[in-house]
Amino acid sequence: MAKQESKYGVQAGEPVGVIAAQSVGEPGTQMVLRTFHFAGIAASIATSGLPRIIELLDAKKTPSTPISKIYLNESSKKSFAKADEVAKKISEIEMRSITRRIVEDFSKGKILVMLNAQAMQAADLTAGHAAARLKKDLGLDAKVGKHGNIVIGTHTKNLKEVRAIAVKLTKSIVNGIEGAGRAMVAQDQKTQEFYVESAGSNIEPMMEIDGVDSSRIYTNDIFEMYRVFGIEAARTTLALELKKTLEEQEISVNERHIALIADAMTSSGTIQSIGRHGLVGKKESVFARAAFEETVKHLINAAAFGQIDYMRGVTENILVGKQIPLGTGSVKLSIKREEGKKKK
Amino acid sequence: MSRNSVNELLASLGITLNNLPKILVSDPQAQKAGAKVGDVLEMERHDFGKSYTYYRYVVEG
Repeated sequence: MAKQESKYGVQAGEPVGVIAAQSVGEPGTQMVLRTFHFAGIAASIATSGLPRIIELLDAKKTPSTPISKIYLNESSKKSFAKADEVAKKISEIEMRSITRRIVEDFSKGKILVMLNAQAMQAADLTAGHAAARLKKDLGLDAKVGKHGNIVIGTHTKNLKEVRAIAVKLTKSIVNGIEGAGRAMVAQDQKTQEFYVESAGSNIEPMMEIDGVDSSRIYTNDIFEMYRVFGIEAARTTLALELKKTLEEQEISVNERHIALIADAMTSSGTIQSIGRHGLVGKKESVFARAAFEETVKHLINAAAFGQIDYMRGVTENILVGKQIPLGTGSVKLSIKREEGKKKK
Repeated sequence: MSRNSVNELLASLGITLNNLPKILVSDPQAQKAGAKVGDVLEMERHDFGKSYTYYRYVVEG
């Protein structure tokens, strides 16, 4: 027993959770509350510092600045041109960003979309390309008309319906993957390989693209990781993101503390937040929950449903003034009856 | 993991199945492994440069 423990360096009954909380919490007080915005560099406007830590620990469904890194397979990662090709396929372009004007012709049931030539050129798109995408996504009869405009036939002369289609049109996507945001090619400092970084996250369709190494795709959206790759991937992402955020602030916390937090948050098979809706709110003991937050609610519920507190945790034992089951307190004394008899 | 090795593991750690971390049957990785409710999945983790084995108990969900 003693040999096994010394191997891990943690004594039995050590309050590892409290130590982890303190180890992250103390340097956390020194973190900047503000989110910095770096002018010019589009890639570095991600949420950082304390707001990001809070976001992670509260297990927010979507991060306020999702970023995904799309790594490429062996044949594509060495060439900028190939990486750029993938980036173009991912980069999300909304219809409204390339249109100059949308004219509805109610008498003929047609919609005329005048395109902004400059924006089109910047996005490296053609009217034909955009029309084809509209046809595919929305099932519209989109054609390229005169002066490079897009003409859409709606098969209806109903004013409301035409207007509804026009509104849908402005929000639709003419290129890339929905939710992917702007994608750019970046280069890894260490390995010199090219990869695509996008300011959004929708990794499932991204994985389908030619040249993408789907096993290395990464997003800072923990719930997306959970949906696509499962709980283990979500845990790893959570730990990595916590570590990265702390390191950005030049705070060094031992990985084991971070790993423990990530483990605790994912131990139920789903992602739980730390707080009254997550880990603490699901505690077994009535007193432990009542001592944390919403005291009356927990006590009344427990009384109404006749819940039993087994007094096995720390909080409830402090509450009633008993020895806590930690450290020395976790050892219980028991006497072997037979041996006692022998001594007599 | 086989029944026997699960029991051995639980005995060596002095815990019950419910003390293990859990994984839902609907989890993509659990489905890939073809896991059923009540199984225990053994996984190799590579965490911050260290590798170790981790176990998850497959539960309904």
